[in-house]
Amino acid sequence: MIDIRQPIGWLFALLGMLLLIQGLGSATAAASRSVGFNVDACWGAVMLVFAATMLALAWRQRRRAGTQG
Amino acid sequence: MNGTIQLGPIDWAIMAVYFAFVLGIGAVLRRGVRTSEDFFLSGRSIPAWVAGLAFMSANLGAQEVIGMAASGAKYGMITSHFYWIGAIPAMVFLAVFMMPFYYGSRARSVPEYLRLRFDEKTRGFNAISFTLMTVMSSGISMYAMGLLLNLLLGWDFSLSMWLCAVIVLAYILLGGLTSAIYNEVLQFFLIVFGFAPLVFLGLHDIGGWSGLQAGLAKVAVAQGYAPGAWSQSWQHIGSTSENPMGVEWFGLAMGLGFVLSFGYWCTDFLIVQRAMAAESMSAARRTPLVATVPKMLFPFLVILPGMIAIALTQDGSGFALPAKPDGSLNYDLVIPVMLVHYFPNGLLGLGLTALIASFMSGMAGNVTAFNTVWTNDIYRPYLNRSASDAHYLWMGRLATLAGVLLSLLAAYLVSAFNNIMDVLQLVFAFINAPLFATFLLGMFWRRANGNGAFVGLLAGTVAAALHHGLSLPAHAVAGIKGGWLAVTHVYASEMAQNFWTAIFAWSTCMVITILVSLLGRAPDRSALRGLVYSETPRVDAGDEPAWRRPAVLGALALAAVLVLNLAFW
Repeated sequence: MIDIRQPIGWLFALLGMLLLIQGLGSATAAASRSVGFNVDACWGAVMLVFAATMLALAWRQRRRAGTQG
Repeated sequence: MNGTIQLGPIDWAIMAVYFAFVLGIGAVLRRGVRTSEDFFLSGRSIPAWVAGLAFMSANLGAQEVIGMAASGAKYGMITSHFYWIGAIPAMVFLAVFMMPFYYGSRARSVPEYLRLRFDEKTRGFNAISFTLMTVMSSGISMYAMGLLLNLLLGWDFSLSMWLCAVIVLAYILLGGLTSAIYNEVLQFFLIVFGFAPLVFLGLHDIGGWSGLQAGLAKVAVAQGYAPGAWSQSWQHIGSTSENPMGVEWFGLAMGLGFVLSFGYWCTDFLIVQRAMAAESMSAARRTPLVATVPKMLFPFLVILPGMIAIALTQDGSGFALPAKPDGSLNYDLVIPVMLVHYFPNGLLGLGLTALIASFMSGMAGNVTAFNTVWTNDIYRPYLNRSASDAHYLWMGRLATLAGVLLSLLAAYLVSAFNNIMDVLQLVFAFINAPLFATFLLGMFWRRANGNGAFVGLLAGTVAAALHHGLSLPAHAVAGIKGGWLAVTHVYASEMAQNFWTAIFAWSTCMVITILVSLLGRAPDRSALRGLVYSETPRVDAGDEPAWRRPAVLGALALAAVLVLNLAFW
């Protein structure tokens, strides 16, 4: 059975990346809409950190279990 | 609502990615479904932290999210009682005291436990009422979603329902309960990440917690209450006129805190199924406890936006809740309207996907519970006793399809007859409240027998109906809201009437079950082993570190919730 941390990690990595790109790509529009700072980029980055944590935990679990993925 | 909002390509992309993942997970997990136990109970192999988050997420349908935000706007901090007085103690009780019987009895469902403990007719009563309720519940969820997406995005009501129904159907058909559980965990994180920015941005807008308190004081005073009525959870429940919810502390504690919450969290198979899927007894006991952590923090995610929304509306400075045609505020639109107001494209897509995800996880929970109870507790015992495991697996998949179709039918029924939702609220209360009394007696009193349980359940349900027929909430018209027999008592609010209906139902079931059991034969003690507290050897937690023991974790959860209650006193 797949470790659930993997799909979570990959999903949030993709979503975080999309948000980050959107945020960086249209900095002025994003800032004016949401109380003065670039939420898309910020939150995108936060999600990427979360994704990395999930994938790291999954990777560590795989290493501990040996070659059984 | 000033027209529908504009979604950009990024928002569509986010939604598409999510749907792809949800279906992909189902496809990957299909290989693991070999037996009916795999399909219905994930082969009892889920780790506690996963089962715990799924446990929480299955309960977290969009109605919870939208409803709690609406309540936050309408009633303020007192709404937190649903979580801190209602849910948490019930979850702890389930984990520490009831899980050993659910998991230890090897019952595959809640109705099956009733058959093992009591008899066939008690099981039948529960199985049939549960399947009906769960399908209707699923239908209501879909209807609400169709309505919301239509209002918000201009999407065709039918199209959005069918699209989501097909996706949920696909991933459950493929991967069974495991698929539902994995997606529920995914949906949980999506909901957290999708709505948390709303809290941050809203608080930023209103000036932090102190700004919020000041704004809420204005709301309270404008409606004739003390300034703290919206921001304090205990100080204003001495009497029904002190708070907007119209409740007093006893009705709240007994009705909501005890009967309704314990009735739901401890007996609703949709929830319990996730704990039954855990990989071991100790994992099963830890599952509800794991869920208490996010559950106790959720008020900050769902109730707070509602409170912020009403404070901003009162302020009149920019953001405002839309009004219904009759002039009253449309509280149900808190989350959608705030999403549109604060989120730029990108985050908007995330928030909408989180909303859709919460509808889907609610629906999936109902469908997996339905297909299991149908196959194991109605089809197998009454229609086809001795077929092969492969046949029951096939029936489970067929039941999944039927469940989804029936939910859609229910959704259309609800859209045609709006009062159905009120009727259903009642039915849930009538059925769930007495059920909890039945379980308490079943698990902790070995003298309770089948006849007692069955008659008690019936009596409790009738008592609930009678109480409802004889009482009316203030300002309501006799009919679906109550008083259809005669109006002998008027309650300050619908919520108060609800709590007291539950109290009467539970008490009646308790008393009648005890009486009828005492008048009849005691059940055979040897048959009760593993099903009743006094007949089950104590679970030896000897070699587990103290911090992992359910009793310890449960005590910690209760202590945390005590602190939260005091903080918002």
